[in-house]
Amino acid sequence: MTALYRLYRKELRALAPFALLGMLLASGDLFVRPLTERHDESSWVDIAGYIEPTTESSSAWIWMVLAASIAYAAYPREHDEGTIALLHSLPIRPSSIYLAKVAAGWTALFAIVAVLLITDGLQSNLSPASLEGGQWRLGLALELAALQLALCLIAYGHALLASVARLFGLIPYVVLLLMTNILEDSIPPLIWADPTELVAPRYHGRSLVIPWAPLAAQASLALFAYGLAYLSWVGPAARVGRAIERLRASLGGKLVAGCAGVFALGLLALIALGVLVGGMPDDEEHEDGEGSAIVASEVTTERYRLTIPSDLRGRAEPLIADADRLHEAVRVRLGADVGPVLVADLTDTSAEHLGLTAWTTLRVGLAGERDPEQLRRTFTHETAHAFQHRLTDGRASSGATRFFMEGSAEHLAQAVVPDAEELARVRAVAVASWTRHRMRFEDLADDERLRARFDPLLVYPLGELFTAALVETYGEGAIGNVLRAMRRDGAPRDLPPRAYWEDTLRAAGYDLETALAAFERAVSREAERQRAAIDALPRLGGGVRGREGGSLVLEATLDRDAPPSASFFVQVRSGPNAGDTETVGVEGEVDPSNPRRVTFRLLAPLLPGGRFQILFSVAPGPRGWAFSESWQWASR
Amino acid sequence: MSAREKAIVGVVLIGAMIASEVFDTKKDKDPFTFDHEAVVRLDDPRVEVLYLEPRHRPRAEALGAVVQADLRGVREALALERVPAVHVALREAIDPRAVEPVELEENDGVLVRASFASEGFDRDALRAALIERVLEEVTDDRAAFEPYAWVRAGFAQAWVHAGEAMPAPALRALHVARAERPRFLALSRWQRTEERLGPAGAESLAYAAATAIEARAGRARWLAFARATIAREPPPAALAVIDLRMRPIAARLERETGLDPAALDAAMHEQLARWRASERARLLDRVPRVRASIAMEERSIVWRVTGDRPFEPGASCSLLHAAAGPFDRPLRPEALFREERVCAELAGEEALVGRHGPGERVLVAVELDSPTLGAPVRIASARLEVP
Repeated sequence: MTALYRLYRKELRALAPFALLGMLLASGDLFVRPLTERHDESSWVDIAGYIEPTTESSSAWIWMVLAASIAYAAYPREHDEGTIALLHSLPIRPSSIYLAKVAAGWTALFAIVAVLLITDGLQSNLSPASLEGGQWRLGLALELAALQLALCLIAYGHALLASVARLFGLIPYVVLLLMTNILEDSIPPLIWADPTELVAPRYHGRSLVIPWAPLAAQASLALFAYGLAYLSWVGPAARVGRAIERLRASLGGKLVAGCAGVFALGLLALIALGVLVGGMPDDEEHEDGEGSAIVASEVTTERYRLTIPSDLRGRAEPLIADADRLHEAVRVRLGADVGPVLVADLTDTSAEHLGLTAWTTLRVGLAGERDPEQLRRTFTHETAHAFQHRLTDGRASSGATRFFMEGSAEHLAQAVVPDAEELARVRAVAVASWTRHRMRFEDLADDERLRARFDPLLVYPLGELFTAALVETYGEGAIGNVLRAMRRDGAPRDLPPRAYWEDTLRAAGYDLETALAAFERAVSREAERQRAAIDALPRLGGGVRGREGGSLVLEATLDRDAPPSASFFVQVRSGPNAGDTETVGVEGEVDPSNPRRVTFRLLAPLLPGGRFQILFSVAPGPRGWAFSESWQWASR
Repeated sequence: MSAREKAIVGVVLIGAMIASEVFDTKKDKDPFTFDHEAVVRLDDPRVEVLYLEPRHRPRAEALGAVVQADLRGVREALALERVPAVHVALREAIDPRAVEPVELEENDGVLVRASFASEGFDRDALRAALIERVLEEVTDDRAAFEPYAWVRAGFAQAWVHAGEAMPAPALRALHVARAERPRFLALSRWQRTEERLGPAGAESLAYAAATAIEARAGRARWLAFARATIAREPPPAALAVIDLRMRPIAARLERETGLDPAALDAAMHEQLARWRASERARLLDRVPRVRASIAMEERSIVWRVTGDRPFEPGASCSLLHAAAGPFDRPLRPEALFREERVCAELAGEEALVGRHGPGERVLVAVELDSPTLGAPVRIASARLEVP
């Protein structure tokens, strides 16, 4: 026992630099904050971002790297420094060596987590503020620390196993983590397979929801890894390890290791590329195999090279005949030059969008659009995006400009292919959302903030109305001038959204406050003009009613009778960080016995975990934009 | 790789990072200004009023002059070393009694939006809001920190209503005092008080405190207290924290004005009694003593407002609600959704169904907006959990 304790102490001494570095990484703000800020103004949330409710935890990666570093300092260090032989010559069993090393590693990780718990607690309790100052709670802090420690111990076990093959051992784990990432996007319920989820806090009221099932699954896997690591470092597999050591030391071994390294890096690069491409919205559209069955033909006009499904040639003809005129109409309004020929793929069959554009390539779904006017409008909208890309040279701040990019494209589409009724419906939705939700420009101009509370699609109707107000105030050339101002050399970088718009509009010769005043005047005018249509839009409230077979049933109650042609929708997502393609939507059915009750049925496997967000919407007509309430949480 | 090689790589990397920062030609944004011809511009201190259309110019000029006079007066009274540029943008669409503050970048000054060309424009609310924002700017936001916040609000209200016997904040303070006796404790717990009473209700208490101190200790000592707390940029970083720990607000109050918290409580009580005795206080007879209840029943927020007499015409009662998250922090009024009703038409219980899901914490408040009070005052608020 004494020998084991001595060995444990020796291991602890060896790990001390790692532990100190870990403490510095985790708790270094204790020294920095007093020098840089008035730390009595910071609340627990300000100090410890990892306590915020989220579905993605960035701190998990830090914990895993830390745990892996400490695990790699156990056996590989002894081998590299040549002290392993000395260790094995001591009168102590190999299993005790393993035990001492693991215990020392756990102690180091425990110390790092404990120091973080204490330093964050100390800093959080400096605030005298009556609301924010009371955020820190010992019970919750201990629960969060326990989850962090659990993640560390799980990662430590896997890293101990991986360290048998040195850095190569990490490759399968990196591959697995990347694969999990992909799986999470396509099969949301498998989110529990991701260890980083353990420290992505979710709350029920003020209480932390402990992810018991994922924790148990991850702990079981980690136990298995600990066992394999034991066999590898201590048991019969140790001989294999020694053979690998000898192989690594030889010239041939080094060659093999080098080739394996290059292969592994290539594999990782391919997977990363796969993740990247898989995450792009335009890659998920041929789910039904329709795309691959399409026989396409190509038509070239002066401004476009169009790919058309051969069987829909008749539907495409009017568009082909008009395409160059639409292009010219957009070009003139933007004051842009002609630019390169645009590639237009009309074979798109996505259920998620009407069209997509990337630089000079646009995709529009001919098959899904029977209305020739709407088809021309969508085509014009996407053409406008192609011009936007070129005029801004891709330098526009995406979070701050999304509403303008979509809104101005919509405005141009309406200007070139007008439809007064459709425009009125779009604007009714815009105005209803703006006034009922008491929105401000700061909501619209910050896409992350908008998505957190409201329907992300609001950028279209509200952006269109903003663009209309801008054009009304500063003339037809305003859209092009603003886009060019985004591209200008020497523009300040990393500005927050409001400051970005202040700067960009000034560079274009305009004034943000003037534009906003014009926008709000337009909102008031539209509100007055469409009072009846807006008042007719019901407010919806509801939640989960229960399960029926394999479906989850949601129910919404309307506060007034809906227009006869109204349709109802619910969108579901895992949380505010979910992307557009990770949001599921279904249409609801009005209860025949109670027209103010709407039922939605969602296939349970499509739900992203036990807790998710829902958004109820009502569209006044059979097609077009919908008024949405704000996102709310729900549980299965 | 040897230790020396590793060290060289490390030094080169750090050097490259420093060099990229040093040689980065990152350009700062130009200072904020209105880029429009319809702007009244005044200097020393700099005030800009955007009025958009020529017909609003006279009002903008009058407003600019008043704001500039305020800023000059405050600069002198508090011996401010600098006064930031102040910008007021006309925004006709918002409630003419409301002021919409806008967060600008550092050194851009202060910007608020207001409907100053509309009938019913509350100029005093705008003046007070501007003085508050200026004090925050001057103190690098320390004046907005909870221990100092009531002094900032009280100073702004007292400055704007100087010489008035019974202004609107006094009426609101009397209304608030019907339900609770104003105390120093409520002032020092500003975040909770503001959440419970709403911004206008909390400011009325701060006004009562400011006028009470002035009445009891004299204007000079009140201004000395304000100078000591909300008029200077605080010492840097941790020194400001130590400064507040060494000299808490109650100690500064006593040192500068001779009033300890208990004496301030008594002075506020006397001030309220003086107001209550005035002729104008009878206006409060139009405003019923109200009680509100809020509860979460399944997915619904159930709320009820009752008064001891009929509500005056035009009075509105609103339910405010927003997801509050697991951690308490102040929520700005504009972050709250609002369901407005005419108070007189409220019939028993009102229910808002299904806007928040199970497990969510929701800040719920009920406000009374009565013409006599001139601004909405909260009558109940709570953080509730949806079961």
